[in-house]
Amino acid sequence: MRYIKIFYLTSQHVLEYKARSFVWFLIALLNPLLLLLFWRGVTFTGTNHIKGWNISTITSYYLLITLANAFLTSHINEDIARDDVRKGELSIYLLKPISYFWKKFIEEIPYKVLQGCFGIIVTIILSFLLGEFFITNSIAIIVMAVLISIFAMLMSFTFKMILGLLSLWLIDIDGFFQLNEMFTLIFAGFVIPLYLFPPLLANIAYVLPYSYMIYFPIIALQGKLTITECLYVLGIQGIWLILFFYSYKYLWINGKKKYSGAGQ
Amino acid sequence: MSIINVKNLSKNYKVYKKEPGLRGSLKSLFSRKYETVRAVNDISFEIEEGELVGFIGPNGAGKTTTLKCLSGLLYPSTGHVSVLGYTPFERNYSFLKQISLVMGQKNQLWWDLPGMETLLLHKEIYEIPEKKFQEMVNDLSLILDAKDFLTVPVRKLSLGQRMKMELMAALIHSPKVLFLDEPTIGLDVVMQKNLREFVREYNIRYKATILLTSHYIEELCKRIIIINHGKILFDGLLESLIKEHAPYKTIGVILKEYVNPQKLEEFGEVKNFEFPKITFNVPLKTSSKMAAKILQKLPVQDVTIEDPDIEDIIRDIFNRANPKA
Amino acid sequence: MKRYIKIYLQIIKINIVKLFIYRANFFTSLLSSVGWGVVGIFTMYLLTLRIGSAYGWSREDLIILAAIYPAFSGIFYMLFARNIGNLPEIIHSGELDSVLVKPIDSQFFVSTLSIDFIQIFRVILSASFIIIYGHFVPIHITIFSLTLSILLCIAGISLLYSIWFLVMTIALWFSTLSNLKDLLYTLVATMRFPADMFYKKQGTLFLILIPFSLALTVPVKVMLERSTLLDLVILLLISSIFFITSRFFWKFALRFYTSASG
Repeated sequence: MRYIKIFYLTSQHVLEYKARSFVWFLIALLNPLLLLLFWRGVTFTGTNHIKGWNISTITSYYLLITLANAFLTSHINEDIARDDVRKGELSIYLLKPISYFWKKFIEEIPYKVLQGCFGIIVTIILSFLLGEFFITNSIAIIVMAVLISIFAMLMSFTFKMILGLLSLWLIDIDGFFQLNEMFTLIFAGFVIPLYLFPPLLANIAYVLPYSYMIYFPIIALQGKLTITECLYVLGIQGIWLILFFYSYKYLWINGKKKYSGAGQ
Repeated sequence: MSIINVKNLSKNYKVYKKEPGLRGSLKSLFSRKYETVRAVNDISFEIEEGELVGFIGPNGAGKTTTLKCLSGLLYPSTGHVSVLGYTPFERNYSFLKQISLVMGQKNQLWWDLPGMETLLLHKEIYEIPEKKFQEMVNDLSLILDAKDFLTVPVRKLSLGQRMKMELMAALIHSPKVLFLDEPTIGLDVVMQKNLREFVREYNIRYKATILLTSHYIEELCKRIIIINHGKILFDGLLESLIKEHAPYKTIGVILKEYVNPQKLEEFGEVKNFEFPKITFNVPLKTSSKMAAKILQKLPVQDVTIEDPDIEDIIRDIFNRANPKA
Repeated sequence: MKRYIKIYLQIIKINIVKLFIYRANFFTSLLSSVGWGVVGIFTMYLLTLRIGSAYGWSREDLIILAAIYPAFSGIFYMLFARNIGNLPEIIHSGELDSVLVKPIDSQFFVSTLSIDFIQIFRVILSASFIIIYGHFVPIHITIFSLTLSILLCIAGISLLYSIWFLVMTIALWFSTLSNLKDLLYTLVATMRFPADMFYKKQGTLFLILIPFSLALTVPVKVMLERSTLLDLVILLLISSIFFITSRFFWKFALRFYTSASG
């Protein structure tokens, strides 16, 4: 019941700050849009056409990146580091009979809903303007893609919670967050899809968790994965989720001790 | 020609009102209600060169607003303001070079740097000639006893030292007019005393005109202007204030044995009765005679004769101006 | 005026002293500023891996543009970004009062207060990359084109400054939009791409970005000896217009501040 109350209060708050939320959305929208525009003016070298990378797939890829950014990313790590740890608001959570993880999760939802709305509206408008939007028409694949997206969102959120908690130990957490952003940008496929990477880089990308948070939901939806491959991705996501879950638990238990010990 | 001249000054603000809750948020998308607050309401006064004036009033009385109008930070709604012959809000640089505004404990020093660096910056901003600059640095650090910590980073200084450094930064360009907004807020008793001594010294030595605001009486100022709800309630010397509004003395008595309160009324108005301590208010003219009478007729262990509590006087004036329903 | 030069010299001195005091943050700020510079160049490298050209720019030229971008934006960040980004903070905390009470131009003072020397490393990054890249790829630059492009960079940075200042001044009225600053940083990042991208019909969504883009595209085109006179004229014109507008708006905002603040 109290979780519903939290949801309601946060929604009110979000309405107040809808303009601000829109600006965040614009910020996230700019890059994919720019890249999309870039590709439209590109001439490929000679007959070196890239398989499966044409106007259609390019457009839908970057539009899906926009949606993925709205639904699947989280900036909760910054909130945790700045408000809960540095400002000491964590104390409030420690006193309440509420799971820190789920409270933060519920608080994120209204923002995600709002961002998602912006994302869907803009995607619809743009696909009309640009005249194309390509996703698979296989129901089975779509179902798989949705599952992959759900896992991706959980991964993303838990990962950011872990990063946020790390601010209890790392003095200069901002530099660390920046480094994480840099890796995310490249290895989650925000610049170009991973299948266009040079082989070495692609292998690194498949080992890191970033692609499983953003990239795979997108190409699954685009129909570039077979059912088997989808299941394989789900499997890897599952492993990452278990890893993240236990890491979070470990950090939370030790974090509480450290935080209280510091005598805020 | 007085240095500071204020005629019929008024300053109004618009304050937006919003209803609480989700409904209120949605409503405010369409229409906004606002009301006009009269921070300063048709006030007039003149200050001559070298005066040290206290602007007294409770929070929200309009003191800071007036000060900001005088220093050029606010544009008056109506009325006429003139300082050193200039119109403050025109923010003429020759005008700004001769004034200084110190706002409570808001600091303008660079936190990590030695105060000296800020002084050097001010030197360039105010175009202080090298010789004059050295002179002021020496003089001020002497009066403030600040020579030792000019080169220490400000964040390493104690609160008192920081205050001294702030004053130096504010006065390094030897302003002719100094505005101090709530200068003693947040300072302990010792620091407050130091501050008052310094202000007095600066006033005498440099013949600077000083206007300070406070919400309690500053014995520092011979002349005080009392303001509340944007209107001036009193403008004159501190002693006149006492004579006019509270022409009495407070006699405090500690009794050796219990005396019936009714019997005490012949000695004066009983302000406070908490055996064995009793406080009387006695008219100024008869206070010494009455004191003698008290010593004679009552079993007195100890007696004190004091001027009335100025805070009480002020409170009275406020209450009289705005009698509570 | 000589006075302002003296004031600025003291501001530089103050910021150098601050640099040595904040040693703890030094390496992480360094990592951040150089790191993103590298990411920008690397991004362009990835994008252009299998392409021949885009919008009339060869792969090499695109990489050069992306490589000069860190230096250009670095100088802007060093001198102005932090100060302008802090504008709402300065105003809502009342610090602006202590600026207005001093005999100094308020726009100058709030714009120059702090200098982020770490961003210089972005210039070093750019220079090093160009020199190394120049060994593998022929780059045609003459002293003349280089000098002219540096002069145009000044116009470009002034354009960036004016747009930022204008946006942050307008932001004062919209206090909930505290992330306009982040939007501005993102807009600066679009300068890695050539302005030519926005000229075609499909680029009309990005009309707003054209002034931004020109700030860097024109000087680089000049350096590579690919620009037209029109490009120069447009940049200089837009720079001046935006600068005057930013000044006008600031004065307008001050009038608003001085009659409405408490």
